[in-house]
Amino acid sequence: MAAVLIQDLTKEYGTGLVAVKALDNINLAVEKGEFTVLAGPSGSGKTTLLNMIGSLDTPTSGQVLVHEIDIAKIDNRRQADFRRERLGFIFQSYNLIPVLTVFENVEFPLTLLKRFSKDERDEKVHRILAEVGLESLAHRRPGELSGGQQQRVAIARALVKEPAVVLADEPTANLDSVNGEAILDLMKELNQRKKITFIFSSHDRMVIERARRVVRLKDGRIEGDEKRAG
Amino acid sequence: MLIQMALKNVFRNVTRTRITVLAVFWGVFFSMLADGVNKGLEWQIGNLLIRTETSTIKIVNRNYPLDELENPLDYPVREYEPIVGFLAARSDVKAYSPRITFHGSLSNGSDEIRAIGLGIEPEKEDKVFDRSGAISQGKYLVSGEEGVLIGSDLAGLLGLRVGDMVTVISQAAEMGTNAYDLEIKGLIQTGNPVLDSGAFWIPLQFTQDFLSMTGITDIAVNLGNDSRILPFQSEVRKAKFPDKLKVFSWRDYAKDFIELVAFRKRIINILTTMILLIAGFGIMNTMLMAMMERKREIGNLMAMGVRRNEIVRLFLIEGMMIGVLGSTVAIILSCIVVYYFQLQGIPLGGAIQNALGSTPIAGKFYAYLDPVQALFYYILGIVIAVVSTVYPAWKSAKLQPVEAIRGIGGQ
Repeated sequence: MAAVLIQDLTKEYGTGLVAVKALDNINLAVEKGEFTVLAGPSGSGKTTLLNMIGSLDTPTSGQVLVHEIDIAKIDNRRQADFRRERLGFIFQSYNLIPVLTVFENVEFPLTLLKRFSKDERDEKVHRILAEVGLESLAHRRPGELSGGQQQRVAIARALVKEPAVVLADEPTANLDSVNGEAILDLMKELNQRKKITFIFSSHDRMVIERARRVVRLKDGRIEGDEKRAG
Repeated sequence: MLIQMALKNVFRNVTRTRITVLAVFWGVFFSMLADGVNKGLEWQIGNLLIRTETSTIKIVNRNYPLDELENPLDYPVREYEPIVGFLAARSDVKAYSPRITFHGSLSNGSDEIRAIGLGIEPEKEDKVFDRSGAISQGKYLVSGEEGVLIGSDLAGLLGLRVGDMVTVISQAAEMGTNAYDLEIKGLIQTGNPVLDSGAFWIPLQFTQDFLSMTGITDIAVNLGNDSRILPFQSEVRKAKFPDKLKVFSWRDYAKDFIELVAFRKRIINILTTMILLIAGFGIMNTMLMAMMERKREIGNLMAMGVRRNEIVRLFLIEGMMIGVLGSTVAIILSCIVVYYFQLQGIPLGGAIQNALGSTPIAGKFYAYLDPVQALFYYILGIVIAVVSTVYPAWKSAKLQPVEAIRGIGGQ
């Protein structure tokens, strides 16, 4: 069973003469535990495709099945529940909540799940912060951290609930090469250890070179799909 | 976590929070102050009337007029002993005073001033109105002794002092004009300008002889509190007395003042509503600004699986916290101010005093702190803050996650 199965997916913005196809008849299957990069230049449809998989946007036609759930066919509330249970997001500009501390930012997805006690949440947050090497900064606010540190917090936040799929939109774009490489190593290591499916968009050559699968997009279409060993 | 986040959001932009809290603060503070002043006016007038002029109720002849221009002597209660017996047997009657109220005048030999004459049984009148406690000079009347008590300001106008003789003049009930010289036993200062500058008190027995009448015109009755007025009125109506009677409450005498207070209350309500509406729009505006600024954050929350109703709740909690903050400070400060003016009073200047005319308020005006009203305004401040947040909250929840994350949409 594919973690993500996309069939005949089209997304158009606008109508009539001004309609623009952001995605054009995409078909894609991502297996569980895969580390996949959506590569392509700006405007190729990478972010739109990630948004479709993340149920943040709705397709014009076609299907997006995540763990066999057709996410376009469920209502807003169930989409929100689906995201809180199954997905983790990492954004280019980190998108941490500025009023919360590092610890609280990472704890937040767990509080939404409402099935963990305070002790369980504390234990999980401490463990993931240790894994991303930020335990000593747990009580800082995001504004007091560097870009690389903030992205580590965002990764910890996305992974703390051990979601089925992590979607990362240009996670290294705002980082220098050293930090970008470190973040990538971290994501890859967590992917291998936790067997979580990673799908991320990037046009960074260093990122593309390290991926086990590269799906190349151009003008909303899949131009190539390359799988690499190991 | 939503509560914790809301609390942190409230303090993330201190200037904006301050403006929003101030909007709630002024709305609640002004409302409480205006209400305290108006309630003070109502309470003071009512209290002064009851304490000095009308007591809780007055039993009178069925045709007795409220109009001050008519002559009360035309509407006597001829046989009042059965009424006195009825009152003496009742446990809810704290005190009563049979009286004759008449239009008269006082003369010092050269000047004559019109005044209200009150024929009283000194002991009974004292139990209802504590007249002896209001003696500013001289002494109170003693039963069986001839003499007159004069309002202190009236005495001043006539240049009279305790021990002087004054001529009491009246249209007798059944005869022509009558006049009699009496010694001034004391001066009375009740705090009610109507009495202090326009009334005198003489013994009932003497008044009856003086006016050539056997009955009285009214009985002032102290019932302790207003709740007994309606049942008492109904019981007097049912009881059989030789004279046909009517019961006026102090509210009947204060009708003009009560209408004035009610009018002021309507004006205050309009002003209060306007101020609170302005406060509400202020809150809505700042919350909309907050929503525009936090669009990415809202999109991010949605991406993490926060439901739309939870976004609404987050904003409403923030609105409620702002309301609680503004309302709490406003209520505490306004209660202190109103309570201070309740204890200390606000001195009335000469111009204000003149403008008040015959309004029974003299010297100082006292505010009144109503705890129930304070609670009402406290809750109202919070409710307005929350209601004003509904639209920004709804607008935030309607954002499309994909647009919100990019910081667009919701225009």
